[in-house]
Amino acid sequence: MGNVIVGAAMSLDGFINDRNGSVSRLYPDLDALRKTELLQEEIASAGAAVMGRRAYDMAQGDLTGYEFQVPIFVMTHKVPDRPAKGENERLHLHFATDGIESAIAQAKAAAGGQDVMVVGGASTAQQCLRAGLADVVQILLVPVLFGGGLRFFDHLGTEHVELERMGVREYPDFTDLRFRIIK
Amino acid sequence: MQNMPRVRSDISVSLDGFIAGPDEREPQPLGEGGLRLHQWMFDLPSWREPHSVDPRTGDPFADGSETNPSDAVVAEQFARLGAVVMGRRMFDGGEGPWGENPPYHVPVFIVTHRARETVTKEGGTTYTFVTDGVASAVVQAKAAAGDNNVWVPGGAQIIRELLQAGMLDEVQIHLVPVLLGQGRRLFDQSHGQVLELECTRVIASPGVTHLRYRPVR
Repeated sequence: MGNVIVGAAMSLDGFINDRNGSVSRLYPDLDALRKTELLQEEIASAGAAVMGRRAYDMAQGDLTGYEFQVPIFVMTHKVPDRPAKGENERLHLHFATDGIESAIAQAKAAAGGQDVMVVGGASTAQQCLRAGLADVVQILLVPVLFGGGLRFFDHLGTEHVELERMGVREYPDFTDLRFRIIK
Repeated sequence: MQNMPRVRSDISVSLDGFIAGPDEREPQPLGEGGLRLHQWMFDLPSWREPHSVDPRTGDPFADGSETNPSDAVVAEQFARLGAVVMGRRMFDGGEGPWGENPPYHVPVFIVTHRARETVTKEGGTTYTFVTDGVASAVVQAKAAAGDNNVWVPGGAQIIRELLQAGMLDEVQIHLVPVLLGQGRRLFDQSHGQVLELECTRVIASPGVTHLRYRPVR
């Protein structure tokens, strides 16, 4: 069975965008990132993805050339009027309107034993963590202090969740930290 | 420059960014569940050597110290130690447990709003209370340290202030794989200036990852 992986590139002070909403400092070199074994492994092991509506809107509904060429389930209350772009025989877009549990279940079924990547934003990842749906947390920790912005680990409730480190890799721009959630 | 004392900080942080749990007061100065963040060091010989009491029990250590890569990380904190600067909250939580022979054996400067006479303990530790800010405390600590290092063992506020003031040469985060969900954060929405750092060392040890950073100036 694949894992449900939540993750983000995050500043050392815990933010996934800066105070102006920009993510550019966290991804200084997207081309270099795409070439890392880290991203190549993720792409190879991903069977489906779950994406927040905000991330979908930030991409303006256009997933042409998206690195995860897999079925993508977009969490939303309302299916957008405008048709999505970038679909092909591997990347199908689905709009999941009945909550995170259902979205993850659908993504797992579509992933066929591969991993489900929870991508784009904090809210969807937080819902997965709160509902106990995530198996793995992956953080690309970027050595910058933003002093504000959108917090990744927030609104998680009060229960302590223990994890164990699966791996740590050093890259020039960030540290890749991977943890398994102990259930 | 070679003999300039370095100012280094260390702090244990949960994966979700907390350095203490909620409800910080006696008998749990680290808040509910806060001791969890320090478990990784209590069985290390290098941590036990300068301490006399096991914080988990309040009694002397039981047998069974355990060495791993974290042992050298803790030993570094006490090596070439010339002086200590710490926040008032950390001091209030530690003063009792550290007892008559505190683990530091050097002058300790506590940043506080409440003036108090300098206290001399056994074994070379003195407690000096600094009421005119963190910068003054660091200047005094550097003078006291001579060629040796100044160590800032916490807490969060003093580390944030020293970072913003550009007075830390090294920041080490001991990242503990737990989500606490609530408590006191190391980094809040400070609205301070954006600060660039450089990761200079990563040590993966059982139950903790030691991440060392140098502020980029």
